[in-house]
Amino acid sequence: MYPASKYPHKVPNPRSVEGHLAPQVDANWSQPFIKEMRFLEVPGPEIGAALADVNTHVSELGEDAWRSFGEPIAYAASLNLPRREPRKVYWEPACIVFQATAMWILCEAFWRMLRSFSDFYIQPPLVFLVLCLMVLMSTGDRVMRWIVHNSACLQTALLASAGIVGAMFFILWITGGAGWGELPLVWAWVVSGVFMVTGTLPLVISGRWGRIARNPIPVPDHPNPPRQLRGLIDWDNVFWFPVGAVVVPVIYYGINFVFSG
Amino acid sequence: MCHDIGVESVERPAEWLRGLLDLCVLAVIEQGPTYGYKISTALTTAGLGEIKGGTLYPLLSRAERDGLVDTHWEAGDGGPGRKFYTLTSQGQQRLAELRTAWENFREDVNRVVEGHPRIEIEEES
Repeated sequence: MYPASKYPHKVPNPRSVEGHLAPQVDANWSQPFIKEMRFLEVPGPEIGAALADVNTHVSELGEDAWRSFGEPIAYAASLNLPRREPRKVYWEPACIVFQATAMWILCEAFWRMLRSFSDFYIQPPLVFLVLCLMVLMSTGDRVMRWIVHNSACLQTALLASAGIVGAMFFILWITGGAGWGELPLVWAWVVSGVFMVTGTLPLVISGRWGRIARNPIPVPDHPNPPRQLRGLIDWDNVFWFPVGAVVVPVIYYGINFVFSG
Repeated sequence: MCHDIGVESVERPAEWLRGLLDLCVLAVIEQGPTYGYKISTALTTAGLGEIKGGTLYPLLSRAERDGLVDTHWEAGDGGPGRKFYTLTSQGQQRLAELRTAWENFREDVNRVVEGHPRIEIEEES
């Protein structure tokens, strides 16, 4: 007997790949299953057939996928489907780090612009960037596997990164950032723009035209596979920091406007 | 009495079925084109216990890859499509081999279990 799911049953979004191909299967099961298959570089049709089997079985038996098939990661491995040698994954999380750094610089620059400063401090975000990249260089593949294997942890990781950025921004606000490296404010817009493009563009290109996007998941009774707008990182998570870089300054501007009258 | 493969049963160790599941599944498919859930139900009805999808489908996937079964999809009864499995000639041959091997093994086990002939155990001094 396999253990029950640790999470409440999640109905898949009908517009998502798993919602289209396996609507009866708990999305908490199907999402990590698909991601693990993608991580193992299993061809799309093989993934679709395996997922359709799960959907049919669960639908006919009326039992939860966790009870019938066990852990999705272990089940994906047990199928032993033809696959290529999984590649090491570094650049996807590195892109997210570039995005987070860009958001940090942008928020700081915006704050300093509102306070009529003409310079900004480049050292803290650069230290953050370099440290994160160093950590990724040593653990990138494991970090990515951890993200793939835990459905909620990418959002948690993004939230933690945003929290670190926010905390550093707050410290700068309190201390005035005195004594740290200074550059003219105009450079902040340039550097943050370059970092944001560096972080976002590869993820967008990979999500729309990369190997995974070009290898859709069809199943025989769904002849038109839905387009999968994502790589190893889900499509909507690609835009957390670009959107945040717009939203946070707007919120800050609003708070500043309210409190300064 | 329900045996659930994956759980130690007092009455019948799960390993017994695990080792024979290939044979049992091929024998069910031999009776005519069928799909995963039906195979699982047939084995349960025959008294072999509950066969989990996590055990059955990797086995079917391996059988398909080894050319023992052919597959085709048919629309379900108002539900999702079903993947039907049919035994190939290679599968028939494999099933015949497994049946012979099982018969021989069963006879050997019976002889040992029933004590015919008496087994001489050399004691080390």
